[in-house]
Amino acid sequence: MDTTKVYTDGELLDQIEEQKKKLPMGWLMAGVGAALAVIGFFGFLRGSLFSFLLLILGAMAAAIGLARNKKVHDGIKKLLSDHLMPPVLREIFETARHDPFGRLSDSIVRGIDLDFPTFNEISGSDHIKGIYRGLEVEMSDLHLVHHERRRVYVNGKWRTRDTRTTVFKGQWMVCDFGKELAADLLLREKGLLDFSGSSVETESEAFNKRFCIRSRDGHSVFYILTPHMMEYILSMDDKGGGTTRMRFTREGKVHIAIHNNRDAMQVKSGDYNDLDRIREQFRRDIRYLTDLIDELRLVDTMYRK
Amino acid sequence: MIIAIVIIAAVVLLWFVSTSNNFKRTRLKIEEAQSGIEVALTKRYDTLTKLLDVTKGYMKHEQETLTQVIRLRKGMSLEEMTQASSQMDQLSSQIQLTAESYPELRSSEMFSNLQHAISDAEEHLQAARRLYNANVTQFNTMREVFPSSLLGKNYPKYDLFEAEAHKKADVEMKF
Repeated sequence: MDTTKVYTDGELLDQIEEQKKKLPMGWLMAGVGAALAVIGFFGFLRGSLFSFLLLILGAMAAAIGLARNKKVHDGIKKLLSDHLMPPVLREIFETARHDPFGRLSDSIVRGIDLDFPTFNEISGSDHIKGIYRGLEVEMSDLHLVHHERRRVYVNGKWRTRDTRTTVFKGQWMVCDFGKELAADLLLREKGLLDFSGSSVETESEAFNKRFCIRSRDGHSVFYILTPHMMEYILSMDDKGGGTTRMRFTREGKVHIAIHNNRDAMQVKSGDYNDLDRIREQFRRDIRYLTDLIDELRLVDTMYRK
Repeated sequence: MIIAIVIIAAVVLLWFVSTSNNFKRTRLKIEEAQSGIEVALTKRYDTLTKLLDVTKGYMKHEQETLTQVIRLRKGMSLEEMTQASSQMDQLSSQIQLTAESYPELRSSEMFSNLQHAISDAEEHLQAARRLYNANVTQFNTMREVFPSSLLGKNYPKYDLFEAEAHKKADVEMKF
């Protein structure tokens, strides 16, 4: 793979096909390995040493097969990132960098309170950092997990139990407006049985019903949440397919997190050949968040450079 | 029997204290919000003064209007605040109209910055009004709904901050 050359669509498809040719061998190794491991496991239960060896070898083969395929998928992801993403980013941003395997830093994620339950594991992908309409913007997919390890007493023995609970999975964007905002304001979409109250109630019943509003300064809430802005946030939330959280900080940053249990810009292996559709998906996923910046910029007096 | 009476009395007393405090708390919020409107009006007034300084020579009459007609003071009533706001609206419109006739004024950076500042001041004023109305609505609702209406009769009803008449009228489109 020549990493410096920019491929045409035809060349890119050829490269993807070359990568995809490696997948069947990986699946074969994984399948055969898994089968041998299962046979070995049952044989080992009957006390056969040979079966134990079969179990180990089978598990290793399965792991290698899966790792091979992961490498292939990562390679295709890199190809798409290197060749499809830059034109999409140029359309939308003034300047931008995309790292398909990078994410927002721990300091950003842990440094802001979006009222999530406790989490202790952070992973993510598709990190984009750039300048949009003169403003610094950073976004990525994020997966926040609460990992708990407990020792439980079962059948006369102490055993270790691992529980992993997803706290957040979706898109997270940070926009730096380079100017202090009026006040700290948190908007959190309420869940089904969420009866938490807001510190301020706006005139919009629909907005109050859907979002929990927290701020120490009521004036700032009404200053930021104009009727137009509330309507926009409601419609953006409807389109997002998940639950929305937003935090406007006094230091001049806006954090927007959409918990929709999916990775944006994630391409299914069956869709690799439809490059136009992939481009459109990238465009749509990025635009969903940058449209909010456009909407905030309509409140011109608040967010001037 | 006596214990039941004591419990009922305690509950009633707790309700009375809690509801009274809620009324007082909300009344304080309304007063605070009203003060917020005054602050926003003052900010707008100050910005208009600066804008008129920039437009010196173009709008002498309007400067007199600002200093003589528009009077701001602490503790204004709703009507006085509405009137002051309305006068500032008219002044602001006149400044815009004048600026349209003088391109050199319109293109001045200071004038442009001050226009933004006035927009900002107007946004703050809108926010202050909306906050005031939200608190008044909450208070008036408590006055009307049962069981807080039992105590609500002891408190006067507050008026909402109404939009000025010219803003309620249909917009005239001239082409």
